[in-house]
Amino acid sequence: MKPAPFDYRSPATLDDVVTALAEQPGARVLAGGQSLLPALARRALRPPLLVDLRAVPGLDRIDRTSQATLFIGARVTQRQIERDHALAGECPLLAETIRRVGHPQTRTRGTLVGGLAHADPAAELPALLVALDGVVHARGPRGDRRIGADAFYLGPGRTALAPDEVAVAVEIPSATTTPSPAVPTGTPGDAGGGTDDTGDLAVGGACVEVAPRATVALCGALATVARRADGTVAAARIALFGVAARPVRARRAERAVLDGGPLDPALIALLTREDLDAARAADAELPDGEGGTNGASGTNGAAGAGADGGDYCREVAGELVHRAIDRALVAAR
Amino acid sequence: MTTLRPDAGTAGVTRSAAGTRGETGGRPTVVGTPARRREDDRLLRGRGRFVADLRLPGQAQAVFVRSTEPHALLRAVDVSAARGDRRAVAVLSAADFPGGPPLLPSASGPVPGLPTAQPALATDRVRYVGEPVAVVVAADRYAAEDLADLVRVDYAPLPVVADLDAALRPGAPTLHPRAADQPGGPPGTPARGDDGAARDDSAGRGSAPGWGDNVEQVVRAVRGDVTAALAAAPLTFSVRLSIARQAGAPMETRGVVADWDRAAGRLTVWTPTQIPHGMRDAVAAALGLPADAVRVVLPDVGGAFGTKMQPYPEEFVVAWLSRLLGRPVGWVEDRAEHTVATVHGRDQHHDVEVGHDASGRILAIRDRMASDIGAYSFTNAAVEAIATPAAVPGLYRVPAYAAESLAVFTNKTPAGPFRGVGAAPATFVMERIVDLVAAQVGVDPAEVRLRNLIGPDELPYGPRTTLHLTQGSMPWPPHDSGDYPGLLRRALDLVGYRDLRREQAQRRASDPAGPLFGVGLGMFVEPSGDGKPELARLRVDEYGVVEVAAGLAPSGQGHETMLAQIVADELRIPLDDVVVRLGDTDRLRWGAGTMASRSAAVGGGAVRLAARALVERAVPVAARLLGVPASAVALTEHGFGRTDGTGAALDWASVAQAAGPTTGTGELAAEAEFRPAGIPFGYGVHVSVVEVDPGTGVVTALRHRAFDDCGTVLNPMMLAGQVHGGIGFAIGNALFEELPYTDDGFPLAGAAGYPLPTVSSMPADVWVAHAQAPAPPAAGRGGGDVKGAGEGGVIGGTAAIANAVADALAHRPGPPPARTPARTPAGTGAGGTLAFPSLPGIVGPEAVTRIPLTPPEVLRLLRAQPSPATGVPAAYPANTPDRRHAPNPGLSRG
Amino acid sequence: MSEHPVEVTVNGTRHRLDVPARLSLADLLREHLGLTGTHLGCEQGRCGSCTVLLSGEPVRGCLVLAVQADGAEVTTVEGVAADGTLDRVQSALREHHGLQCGFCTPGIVLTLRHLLDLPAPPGRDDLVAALDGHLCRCTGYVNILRAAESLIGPAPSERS
Repeated sequence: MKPAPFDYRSPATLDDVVTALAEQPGARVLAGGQSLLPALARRALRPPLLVDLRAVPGLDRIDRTSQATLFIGARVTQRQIERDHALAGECPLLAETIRRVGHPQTRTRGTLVGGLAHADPAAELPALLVALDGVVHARGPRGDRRIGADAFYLGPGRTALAPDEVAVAVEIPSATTTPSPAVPTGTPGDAGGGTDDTGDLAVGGACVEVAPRATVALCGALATVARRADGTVAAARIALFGVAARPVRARRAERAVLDGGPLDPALIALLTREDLDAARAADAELPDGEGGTNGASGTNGAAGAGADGGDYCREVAGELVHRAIDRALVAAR
Repeated sequence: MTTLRPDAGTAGVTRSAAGTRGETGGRPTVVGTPARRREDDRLLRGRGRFVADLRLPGQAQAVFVRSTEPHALLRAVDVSAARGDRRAVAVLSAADFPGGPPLLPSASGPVPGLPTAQPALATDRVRYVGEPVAVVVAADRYAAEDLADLVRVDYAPLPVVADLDAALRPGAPTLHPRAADQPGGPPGTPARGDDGAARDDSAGRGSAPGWGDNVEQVVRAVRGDVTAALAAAPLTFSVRLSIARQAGAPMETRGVVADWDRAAGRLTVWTPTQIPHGMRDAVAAALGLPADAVRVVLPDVGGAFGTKMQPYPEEFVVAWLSRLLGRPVGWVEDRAEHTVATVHGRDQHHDVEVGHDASGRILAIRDRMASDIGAYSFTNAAVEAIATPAAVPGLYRVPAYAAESLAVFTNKTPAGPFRGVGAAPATFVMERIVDLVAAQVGVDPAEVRLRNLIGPDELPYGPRTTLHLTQGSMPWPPHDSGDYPGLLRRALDLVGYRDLRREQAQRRASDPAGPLFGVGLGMFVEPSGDGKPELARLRVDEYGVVEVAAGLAPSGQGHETMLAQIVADELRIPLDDVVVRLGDTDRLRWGAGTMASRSAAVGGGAVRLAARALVERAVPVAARLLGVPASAVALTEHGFGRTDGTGAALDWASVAQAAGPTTGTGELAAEAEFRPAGIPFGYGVHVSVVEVDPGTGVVTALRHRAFDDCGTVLNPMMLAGQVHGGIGFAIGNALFEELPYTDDGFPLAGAAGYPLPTVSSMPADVWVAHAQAPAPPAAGRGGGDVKGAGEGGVIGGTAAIANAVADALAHRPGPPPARTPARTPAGTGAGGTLAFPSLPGIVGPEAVTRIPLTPPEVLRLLRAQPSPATGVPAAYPANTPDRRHAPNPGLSRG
Repeated sequence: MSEHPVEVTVNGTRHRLDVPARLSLADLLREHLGLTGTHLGCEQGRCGSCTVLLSGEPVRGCLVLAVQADGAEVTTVEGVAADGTLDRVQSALREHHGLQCGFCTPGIVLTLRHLLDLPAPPGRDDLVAALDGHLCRCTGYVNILRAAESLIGPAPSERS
């Protein structure tokens, strides 16, 4: 299992990365390589050129703005995030989820942004982007742009990134940001909107997976909530992985959480089922073939379950969402 | 029944260090002590030498082009582009073998010379994804894979036979059609002219249907009159039990390096195999060489578990290439290849009818089973189909039993043995039967076992079962010795079985919505060896170092240490004076190898006999040197001395130096064969405690206890390691290991996809203990009373875990969720060519009938409506003839 | 496809080589430097047999390109017992019978070695999480875990 031949460049600037991608159709960006290299070894991908980000300065930083927004660069490894203890308070769901990605030995090199761009619908990180309402910052020959979580995923292994674009960083809004339920889509424009009661809110996150073997999850649910001092819920975002061709945001269940009241498992299951049916219907509309694919094809899905997780994951999705909410609420006390 | 020796952690092992087990003549024995392994130092430093580590001067690397189609005619194999590449050392397809590529042996086939054997490279037809079609050779693996990409294969797809039901359906496409049935002309095995006569022969399979179907062979096992016993049984039920396709999946894949010495006309083959001598003979036959022109050398082997117990196409082709090219050629299987190119196992259906009485005594079992052996009569493809039928009754009396076992071709990777072959599926079936009987009659499963176990006074038990193979019949060997109910009682005491049941009731009462708690038992027998003899040879060099050679071929078990312990005790010398060298066919005339839990029991016996023969050779020499008659020479811990203790001591070195002229061999050496008179049966009981997540169907194994009796313990540390490893297999086999295929025959497992357990899959609490009830020193046992232990862990463990999950599900509280469609009852399903008139008393859809118990499978069971009787212990109405076939209204529904 | 210069320090020895871009670090070690203790079990990052330390951190040797290791320090299993005597990780695995066929062992040695070198002593959960990144088919992990636990302090009071 050895890769087909490819060339390798390690440019010193981002612009040179973009130039290299533009010059060589089919070229791929290499960051940590923990998803890309297995696909290369299988010869499932045969790019003529890998463009390594290792020499590009500035991409290995985690930056914070005054609004508590996080910017995580394309070379920031999962290990760096694990070891940044401040993140556990700033973004508990990120801290909670990152330690479930791959193995400790792959997190040494695997990057957050790379995992997002790999777009495996059965993996945790794309769902994390959706649950955190993150924004991917990309650079291409036509300049920089920001792509919201809702617009980023186009199918298994397929993203909105153009072949000559490189994901530079991911922006994660403060977990206490509370977009109005009336504006359900977290588009880049309104990601910073909503009430911001920073300081008054307690944040909790939970990642609940079905992982019969510790290191390979079949499917899972991620939830992040912010609670006011009186216990009421100011913000809630929930996403599922392993259930459809893309990560699925459980908006109806989010609204039920925001509405308060006891969480009825049957109701959550019903609402999740509706979200899932809507997501699968939307998946069916996805164009086939090669879209933006600066992530690898193929999924991590367990045997017997297709890319959409199969019937089993659909069956348990509501249960997972319920547990994730429950644990996130407990953590936000 | 003697004492159980709990081996609670390594601390316990350390405490029982050398000297605690007994001494002879003041010298502590090393057999029975946890001697640390001599293999470890090199392995821990990364100095092990595995086949992938070998680089001979000039060695080229081979890569195989494999079929991407499950079933197709080969229209063309175009190697021209690959050959045209300047990096190509060689590119071959079947057409390049004069007379055709060699055929794989079909040792488990119904008759010799089968037309269903696999050619080493596909000739005109492929029958599974992964079948070798061509081979390319280049300087390294990277380049060779590039060349493999250039080989163009033109396939004309044929209808696919994807599983047992499809294969057995009337009118199913056939994998190996008769010439007359073949669409588009005769079947493509032009290279097999000699076998042509066998092609239109169906007599070889006894009463089985002709070659026009997918049944390779039919095996029957018979004990008593099962038809009469079933008819007379007060209660009956029937059920289909299934085991998924699974695999041994060692961490090291297969590989081979072959080096043809043109000057000597001799081939050396390094390959991780369990059968060095068998491999020597097979490679020699494939290349048309005399056996002594081939030398097989065993490198360090990274696990085998049965997968390396037969020759494969790659060994033949790589050996062929080395001779053709006159240079060393190597091949190392990668993991993606491994999942389709190395034998699979299990994959069985059992349609079972059970007759029992109201007290839970099992009176009769009929089992119609089918095993998916994959696409060819590969070397040991039918071994699971052959080894399962007679093994089902296990350590229970079962006065009447009959099994019919079909070995069935499908378009899948050929099957073969892996750890627990035959015994593990048989034990899963039997242990589920016992628990189903317990549920039917409302008696605790432990008690039902006690009512059915063969008693110690009934041993030796048998031979009672006759196994009918195509070419003849044989009695199933009798169970030799032990105390089955005694071991179970002790085990129940030690695990606190009653407390576990109390804990279960308490949990159910206090947290009805919480995880479901289950306790399961799995009892097993483990036949040690297959009756084959083994050879050992000992030699003493002039420095007094004893070199041991044997036919065994270790793959991680620690043979170098275990055999040295035996020899050290027999010769009363320090462990360090023993060197064990295994797996070089030039060192020993023949050998059987390592399989079937035979290495300690049979191989150890041969080494022990050879050690005794060595002493016999040495004594006359010592007598001459000491100037006394041989009868006055004693073996001491220093070598030899006078029996009266006077005079000088002679060390082994002195005797060896003086031996040459006396022995006539020029060295002090002895060889011995051990021909076991019978098969020792190890046995044991596993207790599994699990939790089932009612919301997701995820099973968590909490505790696992193993109690076994494998006779005298040679090295308790290594023995526990074998059992632990078996429990690891059991966790995987019972809970998630599966090699799924699509309905059209394509494997779904990804490149790294076979789902092995990791450390957190294991119960946090694993505990192993051994009852040392020495086997009776039966004649021919080589003076040892050792039984095998390499497979019991998976055999008993898998059944225990499955039963624990079933127990958890049976104890679920509350009303059942909405009804889902019932599972097709046994024998009446679509495609039920195994169909037989089912007895009433169909086991409900909520019963555990299939492994692995993956979350989807368990969720399905959780959502199925339980039969009212399940988990409701109730006295059963008296046996009245009119109710005979309807033991329980709830259970006969549907 | 051109070759790329790589300078890498392995077990304290500096090497300068020209390698093709597609060469993995594991193959650099095995094929070019003769360090065959780094075993390839799956080449997909799953099995952990090829785990080495790259700048002190455990990585999959199969999931790092040799060119990506340019300028880095690598420790392989051959570099663990540098002074000839077994390292305490190796000794613990031997004492507790934490290996059988030994194919997966080198990766496990390095993962455990790294854990012990961390500033904060690892707990049992850390051991399990790290060992979850290694597949072993022989031992059922029981004695590997016991060996690892022995390295971080006294074993839990009673294993019933």
